[in-house]
Amino acid sequence: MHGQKYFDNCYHISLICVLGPAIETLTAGTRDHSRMTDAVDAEEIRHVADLARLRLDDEDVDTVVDHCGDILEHFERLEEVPEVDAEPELVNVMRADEIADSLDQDDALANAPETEDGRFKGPNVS
Amino acid sequence: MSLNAFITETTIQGAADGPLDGTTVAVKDNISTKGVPTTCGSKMLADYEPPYNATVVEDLLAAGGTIVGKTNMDEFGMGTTTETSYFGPTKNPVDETRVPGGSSGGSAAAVANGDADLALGSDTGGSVRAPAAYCGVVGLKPTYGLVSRYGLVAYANSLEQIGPIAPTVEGAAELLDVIAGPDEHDGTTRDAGADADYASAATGDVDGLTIGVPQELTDGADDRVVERFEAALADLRAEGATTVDVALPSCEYAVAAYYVIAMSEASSNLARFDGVRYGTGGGFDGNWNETFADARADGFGDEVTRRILLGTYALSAGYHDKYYKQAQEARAWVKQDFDETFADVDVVASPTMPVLPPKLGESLDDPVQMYLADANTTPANLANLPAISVPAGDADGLPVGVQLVGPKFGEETIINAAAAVEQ
Repeated sequence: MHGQKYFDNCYHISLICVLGPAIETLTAGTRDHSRMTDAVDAEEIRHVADLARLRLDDEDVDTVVDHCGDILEHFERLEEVPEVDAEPELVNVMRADEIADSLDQDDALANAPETEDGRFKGPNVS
Repeated sequence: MSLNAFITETTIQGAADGPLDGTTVAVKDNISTKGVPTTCGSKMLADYEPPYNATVVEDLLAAGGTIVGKTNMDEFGMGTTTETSYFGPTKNPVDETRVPGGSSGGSAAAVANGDADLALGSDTGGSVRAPAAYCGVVGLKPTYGLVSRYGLVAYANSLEQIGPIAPTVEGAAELLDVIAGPDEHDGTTRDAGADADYASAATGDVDGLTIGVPQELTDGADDRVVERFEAALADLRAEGATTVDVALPSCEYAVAAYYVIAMSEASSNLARFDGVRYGTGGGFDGNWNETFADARADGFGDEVTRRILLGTYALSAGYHDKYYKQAQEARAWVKQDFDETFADVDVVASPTMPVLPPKLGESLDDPVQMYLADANTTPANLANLPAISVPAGDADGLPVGVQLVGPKFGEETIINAAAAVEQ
């Protein structure tokens, strides 16, 4: 089965080069989605969703916490990365301001769901 | 469209003559086309029609190319299979039960199926190379700064480049010749590529070429993929190239570093989609914050939501040092590893994808699993380097791609080496 092969090989990759310290959370055949992860909880996810202005439905929160927990666990291996003494590549590039043509106002407003008097119309602030 | 490779089919006629005269080109649907829908594979932009052309679209048309449609893609480029599109998955023309790879899956499928002569994709962590490998065509991610990103709807600015997809190495190089070069609208472009002639580099003369093979990028790959890869290396040696083992220990952290950086940049870039200036919106009750939250939840799919949440998390107070700062350290380490390696070798070779194309529907339930498929492609984005995927035969009837990474602005070198693999 190609499908089974795909998963087997992905685990192989994960074991050798991705999870490292998190290896004990993997089982031999399938990933156990019912386990609780320490990486993030529902309260934190709701807080982040609030910061990102994304409404999360109650029934979706558990799945989001589970998936995000798996991913954050995977990210934790970045703690092993050594400090690198890299030469900064960034330089400031300055130029004089010059007046140039820009987007026509009608064009700029054309995709807005609502406009008023040549302006974007947004919702009430409070 | 049985493959669902296009979101919009249209005809945009180019100039009367030029190097692409008589050539049809498919354009990924996150590259702006004036007056033609540019959806990014998202419900959020289902009705969006850009008021201007991306620089690469102007380039294509000026070169005489004819745009035949806007291609399907993972929503905002976030995926490796083209299954996260709001407009449904694209099928792989080689085996319609399988994914075409992503996120530029529509572009690669259109070229592989003969629906367009050439295509443009965008590559943030492998999104040109992955679908090229899975569909059996050529895909090239240019050096960061070689091709203008003006008019590319941003996902992760510091990582992404627009790149060509073609049936042959020479075809990809010809399209790169058209789109490469500085652009006053993109401050990250460089002078390199202004007078490029990449097409003439596709000679396949590898006599004396030194090819580095990092074990980190072959260990753990599917045996059938490794077998094709080893056969391609043997062919290159027979043509006069030398292969040597190299070590890129940093690459074991590339997937994690890539996703932290890409998600963090995405959380900022996608803040603009609030349903006021463009995108779905309106009709929701409540104040500013509530209305935005409703419009965004309505417009974004699951994978985009997940990446915005995680990016916001990784940049939030208390977690920034643990995730974002460490990911930047890893990025610097990957760059350093490649710099040191290119002191000794001309190109670095690996399988493009560690696995054969998965079945449709097999990848979405476990995001970590899907992200791991990007293990070999993300290092080039982190290090800003050029990389090409070229077909290296089939395994069990499915295409296998070989990836060649070159030094900064070393496009000629990887195009030449890829032409040898192709032969």
